[in-house]
Amino acid sequence: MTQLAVLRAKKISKHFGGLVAVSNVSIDCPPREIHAVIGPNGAGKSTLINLLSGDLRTTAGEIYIGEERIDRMSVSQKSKLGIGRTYQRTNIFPNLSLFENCFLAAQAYHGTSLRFFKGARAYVDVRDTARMAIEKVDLQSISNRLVGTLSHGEQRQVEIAIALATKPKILLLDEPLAGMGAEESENIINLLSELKSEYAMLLVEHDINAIFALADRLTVMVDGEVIDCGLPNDVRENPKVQEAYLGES
Amino acid sequence: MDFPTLSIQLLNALQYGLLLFLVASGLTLIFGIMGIINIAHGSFYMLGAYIAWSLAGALNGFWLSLLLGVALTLILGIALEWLFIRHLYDKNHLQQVLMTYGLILIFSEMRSILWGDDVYSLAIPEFLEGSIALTESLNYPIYRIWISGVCVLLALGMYYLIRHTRLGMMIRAGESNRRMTQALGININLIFRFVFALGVSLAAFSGMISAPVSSVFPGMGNQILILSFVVVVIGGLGSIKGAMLAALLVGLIDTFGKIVELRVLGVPILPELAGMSVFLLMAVILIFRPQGIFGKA
Amino acid sequence: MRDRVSKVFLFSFAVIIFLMLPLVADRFYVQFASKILVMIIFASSLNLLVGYCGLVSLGHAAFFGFSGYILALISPTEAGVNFMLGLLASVLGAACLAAIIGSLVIRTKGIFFIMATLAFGEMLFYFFHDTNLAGGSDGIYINHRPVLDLVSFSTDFSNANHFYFLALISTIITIVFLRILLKSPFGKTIVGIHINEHRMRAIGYETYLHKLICFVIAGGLAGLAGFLSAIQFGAVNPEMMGWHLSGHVLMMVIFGGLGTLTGPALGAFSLMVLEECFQVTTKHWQLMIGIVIVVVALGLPKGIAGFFQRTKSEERG
Repeated sequence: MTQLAVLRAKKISKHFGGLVAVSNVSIDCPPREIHAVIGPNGAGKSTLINLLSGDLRTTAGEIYIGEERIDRMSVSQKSKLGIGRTYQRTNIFPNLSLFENCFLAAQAYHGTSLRFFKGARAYVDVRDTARMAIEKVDLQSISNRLVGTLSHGEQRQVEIAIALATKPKILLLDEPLAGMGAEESENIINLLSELKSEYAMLLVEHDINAIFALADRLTVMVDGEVIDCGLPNDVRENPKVQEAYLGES
Repeated sequence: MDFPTLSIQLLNALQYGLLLFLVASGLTLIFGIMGIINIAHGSFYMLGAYIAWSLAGALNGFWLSLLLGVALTLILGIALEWLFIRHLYDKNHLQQVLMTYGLILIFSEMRSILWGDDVYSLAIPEFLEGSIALTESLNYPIYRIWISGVCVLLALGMYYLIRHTRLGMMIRAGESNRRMTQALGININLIFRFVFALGVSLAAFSGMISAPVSSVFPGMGNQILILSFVVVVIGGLGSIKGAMLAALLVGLIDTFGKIVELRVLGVPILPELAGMSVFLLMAVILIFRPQGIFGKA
Repeated sequence: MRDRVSKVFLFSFAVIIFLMLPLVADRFYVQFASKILVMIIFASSLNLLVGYCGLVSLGHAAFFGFSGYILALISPTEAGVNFMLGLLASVLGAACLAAIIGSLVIRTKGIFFIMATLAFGEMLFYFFHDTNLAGGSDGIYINHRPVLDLVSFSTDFSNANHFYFLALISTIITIVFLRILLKSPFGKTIVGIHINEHRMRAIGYETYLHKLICFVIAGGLAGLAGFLSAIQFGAVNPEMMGWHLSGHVLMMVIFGGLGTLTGPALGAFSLMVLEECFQVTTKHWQLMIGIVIVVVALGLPKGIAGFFQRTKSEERG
């Protein structure tokens, strides 16, 4: 199983001064599976995603994408190796259109950003990739709108579309449902289950219903440590988990 | 270099560094607490010197004119904050640069209108005239020692103000979270006005006390502004501690750059390139610590 | 489409007006217009940095002045240097300097970047001010201007009209070049960095590299402006690198409107005409300029171009 994982973290830790935010966490993301991470606030879930994406440097441990060790690499290097991520707080290009948002991401994937003379729009493959990402999140009808003017729910979808346009091998999703209404959540849940056929995903989310609807395996974190990992239904039965997390909510 | 010259130059470097600290600390406070880049800061130094020159002619008392000068510049600071600076808090750096650059031009022309474009010299107050003998062969002007002493006192005072008073606490709180402080019922606008006025009058005060040593001339504001920027970049933005260390370093390098002779492969480097030496120091710091010595990454 | 046609029309119209100028105006105005054109190139180069890439530099004059000094130093005393050689040396020299300074200052952000660029600009200023390498604080004359030999035509641009056309052609080339650059993938990338550098990194861009290249291109274009300015005045001095000039050209960019191709042209033109008017009326003309700048900072954050854009979009509803 480990052999097949797209993304693999081995005993990674992160210390902020004296504070241990993530401690000895190992996690595997196999292809075409959603690996969900849950835990109470402050459990280190977002820190974990930031470590995997490279927004933060690990204090200890190893991260691999395929066979390649990547934990000393910068965010942009990791992104080029196939890590796509979304942010908990929407992090997009507000004064560009949806198409331009995805175009920039696709351009990074195709590596054309150091061309100086031919018009950017003339790069057909970049355009196709951007369009593909927009189609996947089903926002073709508004691809020319400035994303800053879109609704919160739509912006969350843009967030995913940008990540998709970099043609990632794995998607790290940091609370994609944050701040959404029931209907919008439903949309994203459907979207994610469709995307599962193509991408490995690591999902951090508070919405328990969404987790159990989507997750193929579940990791529970408390105080920076993994207290259980396994099939969602098995994990749900673990008394330690119920006490630490599920019982609370 | 023999020992007496070395000691004299060390004292000079110290005095220059401390003075630079006074100016730069105002700059770094205004940035650190208010988030404003104030490129007109050097103008206040220049204004201070001119005000000191005028007051010395009009009044017959060194302390009185210092006091009046500080009071005047405090009022000026408050007025400027109210008129111009408060509109900049929610603006980006570019607009801050734009407006304060406009202020530089205005101050520089006001100076030209009020005082002309001549160079003036200001006498050292009588009771600080003369030198003291440090050793048998070594005399040092009392006035320069007095400047250093005053700067040290002010630095200590500032440290106390920020670390140990209620006002300082509010200032530090405003620095870390403007909106929260406001929600707690602290009048952040008033604090900002005070901080700005404090910065203005610190710069002006430095100009006043340095006037007898450096003379009073139109370009004096620019020179000190650029060096203050270097100090802030080296020390780390918003860090008073960093400003102190960097100011002393810059004082040392600038002073000794001008008197040390250095040749590399027969090409004269110092003192010819003394003017560049502090900038080279800054370049080196930027390579190894782009956020400055005490800056937060 | 209609928008594009009207833009092309306006641009051609402006070019025709400029082409006709030497026929109708006397020498003073031709020289003044040349000065404006040089500043348009300079301001446009800074606009690439500030308006498009979001890097606020207060030391941009360093490249302007450095390039002028290169021309002065490579010009032989007895005859003018070959024009193309002078141009290449000046522009490439400025670009190399930008690569060195840029590699350091781009490590910093925000206000730090502003201060660091200013300090490096001053370093160059003091270098030429304090050493005897090139005339110290007085600067040096370029006794013989660069000579351009075309098939049956040769000029050293001491003729005001010849220089005027050189400046005009250079300005057009600069603006067209910038337009192409900004439409290219690289142009889209630097705008993306301006809007959200963090996300650009997260989707795989080496933003440092792109910012550095942008800095170098801007430095090279400032070098072109400095080269032209040195030819026009036949002399260079340390003030060409001083932070006052950096501040001044930044004002033009902001004044005209950041991040638009027409902005720097509008800004350079209006600020210089304004200065000329104030200079005629009062000795303390800088006071007036200062007041204008403060008012713009308070009331027109997007400059003149932004003001027109706003009224235009309001009309559209």
